[in-house]
Amino acid sequence: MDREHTQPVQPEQASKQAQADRTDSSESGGALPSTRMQIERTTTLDGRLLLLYTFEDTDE
Amino acid sequence: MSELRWHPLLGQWIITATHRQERTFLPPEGFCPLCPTQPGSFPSEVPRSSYDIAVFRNKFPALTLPPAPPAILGSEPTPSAPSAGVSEVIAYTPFHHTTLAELPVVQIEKLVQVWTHRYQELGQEPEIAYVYIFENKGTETGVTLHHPHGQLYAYSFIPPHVVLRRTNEDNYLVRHGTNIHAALITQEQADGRRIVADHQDWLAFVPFYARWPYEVHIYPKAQREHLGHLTRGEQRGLAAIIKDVTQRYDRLWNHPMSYMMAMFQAPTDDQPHPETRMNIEFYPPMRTATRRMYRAAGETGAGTFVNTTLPEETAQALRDA
Repeated sequence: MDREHTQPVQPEQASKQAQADRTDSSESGGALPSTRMQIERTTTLDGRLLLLYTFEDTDE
Repeated sequence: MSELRWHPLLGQWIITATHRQERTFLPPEGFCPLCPTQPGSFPSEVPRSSYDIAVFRNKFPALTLPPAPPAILGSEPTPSAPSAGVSEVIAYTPFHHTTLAELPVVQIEKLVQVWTHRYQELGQEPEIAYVYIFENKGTETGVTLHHPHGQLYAYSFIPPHVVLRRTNEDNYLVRHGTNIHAALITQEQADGRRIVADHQDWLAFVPFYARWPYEVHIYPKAQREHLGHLTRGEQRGLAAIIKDVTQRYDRLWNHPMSYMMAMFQAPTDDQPHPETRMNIEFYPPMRTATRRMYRAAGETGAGTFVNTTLPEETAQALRDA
């Protein structure tokens, strides 16, 4: 398997998913944290392509 | 066994995929193939104890690369062809008991990023002509897995509805010198009665010509041919308006609304497409809280939809929801 990095994107960290916040759906744009989408290319147990996406903060 | 068979009267490919008869159908709790795999438990499609968003090639694909040769060879006027393409499943979240409407905007925004990546990467494949991203939600749409997920088909040909749309897009551009989608947005903004949600960069409305009750179309206000053209702010804005529209659906009758979601983008031919604009269309099959609209003989045979609701009234109901 290999990992690739795409251009920085704005989603927040994956851990925020667990917080299950209910962000106001009327929001749009605004100051956004700089994050990077990472893609791990691997396979399912029977060998089909499986892509696992994670999102990391890059503001550090 | 999968192949393309030409329908000579409609002028379109029909995909046979007999193996899809065997696909997983509404598995019991604990046997969801889209949940993360927990130690000692049912091995799902994702052999990890957690994930954020996962995409994998469909176990029961309608389209494959490389494709198998047709099992039954056609002949004129009904040729057959290999069903070349890609069928993928997109798991929106590791959590089983939720929906797209219930996901945080930040998670939907990640999904927008994933959609964009799949569109761009698959679009670079020389065999792929069109990337179609979609979701079926709810048993009324025939969904076989309740875990929140969507799918994509990357076709080796332009699918028939897109061919028809392109014909009309091209004709309008030639006759009027402007993009038909821009004209539709201008019309809806001027009228106002069919608008469901008006955000900074995005507009959601029930189209004047809605075929389905509570049908909603989402458009970028600026000319964007595909997801790869969106700015960062527009990506977040798209996530926000998707959540807004789907939450309105769920509030309308106080239970999760079933829908078919279709995303239209430019063909992946590396050519400019000023005639088109990306958009997302929702087709809920329910005409009331308890009664569904069927795609019956009028719709399936003649292709003429009979909508028993007024778009101006359904838009008002969704605005009030």
